[in-house]
Amino acid sequence: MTLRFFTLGMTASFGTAWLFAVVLPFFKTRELKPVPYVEAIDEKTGVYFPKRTGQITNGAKVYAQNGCYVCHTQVVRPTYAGNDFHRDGWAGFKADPDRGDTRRESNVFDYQNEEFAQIGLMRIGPDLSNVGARYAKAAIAKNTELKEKLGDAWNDSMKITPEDLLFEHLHNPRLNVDMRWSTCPAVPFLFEKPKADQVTPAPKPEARALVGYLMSMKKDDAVPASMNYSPPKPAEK
Amino acid sequence: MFFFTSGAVWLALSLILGIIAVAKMVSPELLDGCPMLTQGRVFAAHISTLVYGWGCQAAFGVLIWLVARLTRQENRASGIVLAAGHAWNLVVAVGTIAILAGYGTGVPWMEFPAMVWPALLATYTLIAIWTMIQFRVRAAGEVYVSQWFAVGALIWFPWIVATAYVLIFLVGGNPLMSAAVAAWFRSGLTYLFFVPTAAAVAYYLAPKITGRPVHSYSLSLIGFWTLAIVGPWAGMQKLAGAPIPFFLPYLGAAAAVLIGVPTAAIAISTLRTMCAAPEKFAASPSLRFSSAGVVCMLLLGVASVFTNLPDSTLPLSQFSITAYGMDILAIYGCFSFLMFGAMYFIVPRVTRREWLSKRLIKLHFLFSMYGVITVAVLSVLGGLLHGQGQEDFKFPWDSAVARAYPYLIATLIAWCFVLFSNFFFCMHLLLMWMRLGRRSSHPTLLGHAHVENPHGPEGDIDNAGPGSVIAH
Repeated sequence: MTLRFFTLGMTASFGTAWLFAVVLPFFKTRELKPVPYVEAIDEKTGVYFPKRTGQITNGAKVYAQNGCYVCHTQVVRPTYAGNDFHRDGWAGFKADPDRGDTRRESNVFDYQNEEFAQIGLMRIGPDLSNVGARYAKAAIAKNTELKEKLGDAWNDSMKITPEDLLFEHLHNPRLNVDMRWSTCPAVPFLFEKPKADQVTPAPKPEARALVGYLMSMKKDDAVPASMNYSPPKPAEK
Repeated sequence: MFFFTSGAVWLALSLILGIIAVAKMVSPELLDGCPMLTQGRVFAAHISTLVYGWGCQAAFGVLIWLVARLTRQENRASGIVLAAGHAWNLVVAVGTIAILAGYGTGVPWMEFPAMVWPALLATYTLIAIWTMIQFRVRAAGEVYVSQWFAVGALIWFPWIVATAYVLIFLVGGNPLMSAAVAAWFRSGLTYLFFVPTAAAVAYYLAPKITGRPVHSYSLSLIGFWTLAIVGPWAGMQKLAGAPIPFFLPYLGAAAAVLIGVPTAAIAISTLRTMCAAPEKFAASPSLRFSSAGVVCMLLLGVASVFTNLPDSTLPLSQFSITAYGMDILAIYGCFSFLMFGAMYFIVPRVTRREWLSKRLIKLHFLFSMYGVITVAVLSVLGGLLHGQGQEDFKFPWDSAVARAYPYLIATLIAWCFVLFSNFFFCMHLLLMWMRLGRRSSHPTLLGHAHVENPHGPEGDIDNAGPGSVIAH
């Protein structure tokens, strides 16, 4: 093997893959393009270009710095690539009281305003694509339960917000009896020193940012039919 | 030599961090409340020190030595290379502390803060450029198989690291494509840096120690070029199902399956060479370690085939503990064992001292082998079960997590074995580094003492080499 052949071969074999699988797709996908609705199918006109709110940039930074991505993923795979779609609450809810079947897989708009999509390494913990939606639902359930229990003693100041539940989880993932099996590490250093008789102390700004980011994960809005690969079956419609 | 000792110290550190990380997966209350030691940060620091502290340094040391040996030249810039080596250590230390202090980037395997990467690339250039020049100006003659892999690794490494750094941290694109590039980076570093470095060592040690020519030149040629052609496409299968262009993850999966071809070709041709001289096989510590490394390479290839089949196993392995098992099999199983083999061969030649104790070498081999096989096999297979649990959407999520739990405990125990063995290795190496090795004409072999020794009776020698005048 001559040096010339070696150099050329190395450049060609690596360069081809480098160009076509890495560099070109990278630059081709830099801009997000709005997806137009097709009137005949979607029954509306215009374009789909959702906006995300919440402390995304700061929260994503806290998420990255503390290595949440080691055990949590943020992708709902289409059914050809896995069964995430069917797991309760991961892709949305099968029977949402207001909106019916809200399940859908991840799309490219779900990662807006982030520098790096935290797809994640392993699923030691559950997927977080819809963790905001799940906690919102859990908070409603908890409030209803409390209301029934207390009856007339209930007032609105007792209301539990989804954020409260998330803070509780971050401060001690095993506080909830149903979650005793959890191996999620606690992050008490994102909270102030607890005062007497306080179970979950006041959060620091980092914890607020992280919770804001997690609450922004409600990736179950309706999408145009052209990008919905798992549309509800006609019978369910 | 400097690279080896500092690499070994990093390895020990990485193992301690790895043990903490896995222990925290099993019992999360451990060391709770110390922000430096939260699980996510420790895991990132564990992988980063394993890859850049131990892996890269061991590889640089071996590659510099190999190219110098095979081009029959002395490294002319050893001062600069050593200085750059110190700089590399400093940069890795800064990066690791930054991760633990909470300044990690959150990009898997690139957790060091963004400013660390140009420094790493610059020191790499200083380390590698002399070796490349040496290869370029070598006396005309046969280029050995080992050299293809060595030079290949030296070229691929900066290309991959620079691409990932520029695209992810400087240019910035779609967050999903950044994640895809990071996945490609992880696979590229494994298959186009660690695996070819390991192959370079295997192709050097096997014929050298057995004294036989490399078995089947054409098989080695196939091994090299298939690796070069297939390797760069792999990696993005980790994003199968994520909203990136559809062809990328599935090309990645196809390439990851095809990785089986070069690893098998390399492993078969080096193993056949080693088996040509079975008597050397039993005695030489280098050969024992490198043959184990080659077997791990074969396992890595087979595992890569069987965990990346898009229709059956890819959904299972994608987000389960299989991924960790594959990384460990590649870095600790295949790569590190060949590095240990090379070190057991090189260090006596550099220090002109022989290894002190064959018992220490045996202990190192036994515990490392046991540990790494346990970690890799359990994580890969356990990961598939873990993945199956994840896919069973009718059962609650905690049952999927519970499936991974026993494997994590076993991994923890096995890591302790590996740490134990590397404590001995590190100590042994440091003693050699301090020039406290045996001054003997007898290499430390693993056979029994009563075997007829070609070197004559044991005795202290003057190590100045042939031509030195004998006193009196």
